[in-house]
Amino acid sequence: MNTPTFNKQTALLYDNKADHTKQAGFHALIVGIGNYQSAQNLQPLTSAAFSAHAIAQKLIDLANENQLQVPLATCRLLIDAFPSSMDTILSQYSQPINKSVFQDTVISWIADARAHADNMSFLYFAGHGIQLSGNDRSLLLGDFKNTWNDAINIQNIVRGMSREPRYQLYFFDTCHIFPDQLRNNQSPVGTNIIDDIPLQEYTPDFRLIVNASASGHPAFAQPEGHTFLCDVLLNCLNGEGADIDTNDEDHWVISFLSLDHGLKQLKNTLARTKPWQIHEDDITLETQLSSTPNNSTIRVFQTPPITHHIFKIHESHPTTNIRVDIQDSNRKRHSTPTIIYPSFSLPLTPGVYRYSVHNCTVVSEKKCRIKQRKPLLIMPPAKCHQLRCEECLKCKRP
Amino acid sequence: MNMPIVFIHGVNARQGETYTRNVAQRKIWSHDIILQQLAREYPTWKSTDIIESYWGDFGVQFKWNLESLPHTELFEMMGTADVDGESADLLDFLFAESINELSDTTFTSLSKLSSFNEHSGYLIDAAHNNLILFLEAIFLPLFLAKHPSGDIKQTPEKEGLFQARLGMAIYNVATNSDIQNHIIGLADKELLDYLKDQILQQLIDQETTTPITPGIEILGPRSSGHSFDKINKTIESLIQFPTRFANNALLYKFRANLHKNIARFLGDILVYLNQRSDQEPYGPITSTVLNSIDTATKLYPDEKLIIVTHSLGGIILYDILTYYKPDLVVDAWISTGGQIGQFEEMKLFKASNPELKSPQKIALPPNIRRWLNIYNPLDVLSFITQPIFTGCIRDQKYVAGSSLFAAHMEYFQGPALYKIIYEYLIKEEVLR
Repeated sequence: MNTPTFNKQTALLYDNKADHTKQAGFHALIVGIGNYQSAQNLQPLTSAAFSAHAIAQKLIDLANENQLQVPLATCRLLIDAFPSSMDTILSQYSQPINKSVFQDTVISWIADARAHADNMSFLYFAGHGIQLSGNDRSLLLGDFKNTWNDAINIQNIVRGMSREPRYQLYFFDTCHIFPDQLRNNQSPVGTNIIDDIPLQEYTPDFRLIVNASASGHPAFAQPEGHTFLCDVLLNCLNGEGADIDTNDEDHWVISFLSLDHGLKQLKNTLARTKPWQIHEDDITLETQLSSTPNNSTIRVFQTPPITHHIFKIHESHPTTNIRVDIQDSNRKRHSTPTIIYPSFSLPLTPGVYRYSVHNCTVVSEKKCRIKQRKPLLIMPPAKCHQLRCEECLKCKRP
Repeated sequence: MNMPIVFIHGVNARQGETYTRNVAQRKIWSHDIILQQLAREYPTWKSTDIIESYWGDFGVQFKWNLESLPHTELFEMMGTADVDGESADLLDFLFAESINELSDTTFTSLSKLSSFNEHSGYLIDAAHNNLILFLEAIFLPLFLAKHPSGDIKQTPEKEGLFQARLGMAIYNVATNSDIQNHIIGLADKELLDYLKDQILQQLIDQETTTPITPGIEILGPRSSGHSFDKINKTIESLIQFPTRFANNALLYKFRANLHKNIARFLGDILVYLNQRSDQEPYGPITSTVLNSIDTATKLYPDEKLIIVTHSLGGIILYDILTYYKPDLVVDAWISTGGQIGQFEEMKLFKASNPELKSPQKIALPPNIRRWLNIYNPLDVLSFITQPIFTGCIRDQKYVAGSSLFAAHMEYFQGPALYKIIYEYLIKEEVLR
């Protein structure tokens, strides 16, 4: 990491603020709370701290590779790890995170983020959360003691950031279920930790709010591993949430729009493939993207931070022999071997490629009919293209 | 130490959502009530493999999809949502029978029942008399009448899992002595509200200690999930319209399936008897069950063999143990809702000796080490065995209130039965 020492008091894992006093910077606040020992019905979380650390590590890696749209100025890390799941790395960062610590850090982060109008703010929170009255949502900290009104109101944080900086990203990696204990009682409104700002004043130019679960639904995580949203987000930052840069077609870019799209797409894919005994419909993810018209490709990250990427064919006909010829922007041709999907991959560097499918023979006419609802879908690092083989067309596939 | 339990189903079991749900439910209750408890008793005991012997595909098939069933006025009447006149009287009568059974109260007239309300005290009498039966009779069938996990349609496995959880919650509440003491003196509405809260808390506690999705962290408080609204609505309806609601819920299930189930019951038995053969492989049903038992004995050659049967499953097993495979040793046989005694009376088994009759008894063959026959007096298709057989055999009465309408098919729909099985295995020292 760029900053070797971590200051627990300020929670600053990365502090390059001094170099960015007059230019826009990227200000991140990353929180992982797993040490819930004061509240009934709240299980300790072994995944939250690992997830928060992984996201922080990723952002700093991106910064070191100059992949962020604006240079990383600050990265704050608040980790309250469940002791039995803490490794030596997490123990460097873990500390009790109560309301006071969280409040102070949020206020400092907001102040830094609002210091320049073109800054980009980034908040990731992994931990427990509940639904409040209406559609309000909340976060629960380690000192939470079953007084539901002590839950931290998410909307208050978002409103607290107000309309500046212009670019804001929020990832709330929590459940949004209404606790049973509250159903017969008056709904709580939660705690505000910063001065609230009137509604009409807080809409920035670009804001993406991602909730790990839709209203009324739980969010999931792998014990001692990552949360589901963390995995989805990391994959997106690795290139799956990228799109062709509309300003420079030779490059890929992760924009607010492509990230929003990529998160939703990848959620569906991972929900199907995760080896969890959860029905894919139970895994929900909700995004709210607000942006000014015609500016949806505003960059979050530059070219996806990948040196090698697998050229994938998704949901291809499993009995189809294919060879894919790929031509990069320098007109250099790459060819795959002729082989039956899915045992097929080709490492590519990021970029734009033109491709064509050859020798596309279907092994069995009968099997072709069976699989006719699965068209060829070829996916370079981020952009999906749909192709059909000649044989498939002969079968009059839809 | 490991132990195989072979489950041989009875009539009417067919692959589908209900079967999948029931298997999931059975797995949880077997694990929580029988296996976990056994592990505490026997430190060397490790696990148990439940082997489901499914033969339903070889059961009766109706080539006209039971088009021959008549559409009678009775069945239409019993299933209507809004009832009045004679239908209402019939429903009131049926509900009264349930309460009578549980509360030792006798309603002398239907008019008294019509005035049943939250202040009447009939429910508290029934609950105080036998809280386990009251909860399994009144609550569980109501909750399970439609989609138990709420308005959201779940997969059959999840439905079964949730039903098992709900059953365990109800069972834990019913057997809690503090709760039993607390209900004394409550009015009916207070009773229902109190029990509702206790059941919901049990569901939350279960989810906290043993999550329904093990191996996954949930980033929020443990909850009873979508069941809360379902349970809440059910209780509210029960408080407001006890007779109508209870009976409609039960009759809804009953009406749609009773006639079809009777046809399948007779059909499965006739098909089994018709296909049963002296030549190997002895008919498809027998050979399927034999294969399952062989699997269990090959996987666990040195372990105790426990077989649980339901209904026709018991007849199939009795034929196997007395005729097809008399050298197969079963350490404990638990039959439920069985007709073995009745079949022996009719001399329908392959090994039946027509010369043996009352007052003589049939000596159990030595390969049946122990036999517990569980019957429900409300189940007109279950029979006892001790008047016919002699040996290490016991008839055990098991009353489930929900069984008033669907007694034969619902032996495994409540946790109390599993508790009986566990206590039998401990008492008989089967695992020693």
